[in-house]
Amino acid sequence: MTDQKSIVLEMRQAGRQYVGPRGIVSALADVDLTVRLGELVAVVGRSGCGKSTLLNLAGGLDQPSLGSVRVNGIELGTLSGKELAATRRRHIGFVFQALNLLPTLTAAENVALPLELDGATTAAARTAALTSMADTETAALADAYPDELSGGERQRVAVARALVGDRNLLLADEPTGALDEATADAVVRVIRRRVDTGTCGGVLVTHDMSLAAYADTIVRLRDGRIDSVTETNFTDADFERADLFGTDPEGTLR
Amino acid sequence: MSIKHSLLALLAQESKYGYQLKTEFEAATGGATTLNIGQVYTTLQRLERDGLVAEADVDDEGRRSYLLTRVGRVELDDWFDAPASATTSQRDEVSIKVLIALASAAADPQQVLRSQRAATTGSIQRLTRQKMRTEDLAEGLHLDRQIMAGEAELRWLDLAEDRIDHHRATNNGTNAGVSQ
Repeated sequence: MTDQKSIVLEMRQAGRQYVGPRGIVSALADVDLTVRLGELVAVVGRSGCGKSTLLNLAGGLDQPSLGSVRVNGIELGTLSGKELAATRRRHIGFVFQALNLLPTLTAAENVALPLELDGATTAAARTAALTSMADTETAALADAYPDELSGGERQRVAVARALVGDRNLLLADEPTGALDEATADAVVRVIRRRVDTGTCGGVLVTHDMSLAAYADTIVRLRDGRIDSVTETNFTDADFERADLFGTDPEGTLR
Repeated sequence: MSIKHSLLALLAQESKYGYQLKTEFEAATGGATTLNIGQVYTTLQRLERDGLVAEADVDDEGRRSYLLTRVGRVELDDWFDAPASATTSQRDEVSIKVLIALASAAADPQQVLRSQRAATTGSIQRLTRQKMRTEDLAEGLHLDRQIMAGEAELRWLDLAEDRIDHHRATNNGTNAGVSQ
């Protein structure tokens, strides 16, 4: 999985500057970030550290002032507004803290919507929607309306919509911010399992380290720059060595 | 236990007497940890026996002062570099390490914070991965408990980082050591 083809998102020295009354303000600088298929990257940091700016650049909601942002090999920085919108629709799915679903459509219609907007027939879109919903354990909720769903169910449907069809980059911005801990944990597990199928990659922005810990890589931002990167690549052997409650082999937390 | 290493750190810059070490250790840890003077002398004897400190001077009243040796410096650096682990102590090894780094100028407290953060983050990731693999409620809850302990530690590390930065910024960038 190290070939170029498996790279979904690649940010190279990406930065975003704004011209303010007192000169140039840097919201984000020197960001190097790679997300491959099957990989979940968490972005953590205090409010104002640049998390949202990073996600906006990754998702083509904003364009970099410096460096490069590529999604499935497509350089976003040089696209026109129209091309950017088309690229977003085909490749990228967002999940926000709330208001992800249109209240007048059923769950399945919500999930199918991006494909229909992109020209798919209603039948084809529904089939793809149900497939994506099965992957987030929401197929049974297909014909329910958003206000009939719990908060956790709504977010799982939102994940299904974000990754419907061929879209393979999931960008989640505090997707569990409005949920209780057990529900939030369940939603992030669904994201983790979905990513583990190897058909997509994801970026999870969160302030909650227990959720960030589901990621393979945790990027900590500070003052608009990457402060640290923690990568883990656990093998099965790491877990076989651990006994029932000997869950922390290095013993850092005991 | 970290008393040994804390004393080494306090002896890194200049020689000190036992009672001075007790006072400075207590000041460094914000008074949260008190030391028995007998414990200090016993520890110093053991450190001297192991070649980690050497006697520097004996004053008129027969009090001995000690200084860190080169071997002691290596031992001290190893302690600062290694993230706190389970096997060492019941006391809060992580915070003592940061506080002693701050007080003694024997290591950069921000570096101690960074390496501890990396280690704790890695542990939380490992525990979380383990949590995904278990179907057992009891084991899951036990893992949640450990993960939350790690989160609390990370919150403190972040807070300490900000406070130390702020303290340095408001003290003209000089060392943030506590006043001796």
